Amino acid sequence: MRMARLALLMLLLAPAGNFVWAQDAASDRPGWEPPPLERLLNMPAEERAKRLERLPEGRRKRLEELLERYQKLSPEQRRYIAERYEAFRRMPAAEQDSLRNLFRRLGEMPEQRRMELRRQAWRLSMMPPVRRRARMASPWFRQRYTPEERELIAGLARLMSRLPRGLSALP
Amino acid sequence: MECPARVGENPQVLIDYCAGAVPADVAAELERHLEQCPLCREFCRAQARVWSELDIWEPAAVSASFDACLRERLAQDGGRRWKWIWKPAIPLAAVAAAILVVALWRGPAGAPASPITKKSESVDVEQVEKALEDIDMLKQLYLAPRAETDSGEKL
Repeated sequence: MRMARLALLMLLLAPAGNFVWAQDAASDRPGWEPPPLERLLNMPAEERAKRLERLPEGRRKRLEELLERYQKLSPEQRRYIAERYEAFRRMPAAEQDSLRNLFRRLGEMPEQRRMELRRQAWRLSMMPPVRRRARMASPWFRQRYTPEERELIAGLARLMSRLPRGLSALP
Repeated sequence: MECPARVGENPQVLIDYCAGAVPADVAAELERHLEQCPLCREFCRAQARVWSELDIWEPAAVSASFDACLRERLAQDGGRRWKWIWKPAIPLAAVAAAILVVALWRGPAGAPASPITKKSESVDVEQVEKALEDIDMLKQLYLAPRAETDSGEKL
């Protein structure tokens, strides 16, 4: 009777145990991948190549290039980006699109300027809103950037500040 | 002192007191409480009765023919002996079944998926493309600035 009770208890606890084990298994993984990528990366290479072959050449090349860049990231970098990607996915669709648009606009700028604006937006995103506003209102800031650039930086900084800001995982 | 009989978790203190198994200071405190508390007094009285009944109880002696009678009955009722074997086996089988269920349940999450499972997983290429574009954007926004630190800039 005691053993039957034990069996019943184990059956009842099975889902909870499974949950705990699954959590452990997930946290043991060396690098976390976003689900759609994980499936693609876990595929045997031949299978993956077959899937990509079906795409038009331009799209396939772009995807391969992005995949290669992603795979070059260290596990720490992947985790760092994955954290921000998860937060990005949870943002409202309008804000996601807004960040994509700002990033596209940034991409249209000359490389040196692009780097400068990106760095400035990143720095501002790390600041509390009050300090950010004060910095953007300063004569130094106004002299340094055009109105269009200021708008771009402000938008990027605002949206980037909504994503996790920790620096510890940066390589 | 809180009434041990009312607190609920603590009648064990009273049981121990009746068995003479509490330290002297606790016993003294309990005795002061017993003077005022009819509930605990009754509890201790009942417990004392149990002890005295147990003191006078003696198990009945087993008759000399007990073993012989038992063997005879077992021999007569051979078929029933299977019950003696199966009785503990049934709960054991239940435990084994439970372990199997747990193991199977855990399987898909804990164990690495087989190549066949991986093949059968559907991959939405458009979703992958979108995810990679977003990841690349975040990578450029977050990982690149660190490499471009400008020590001369005022903060």
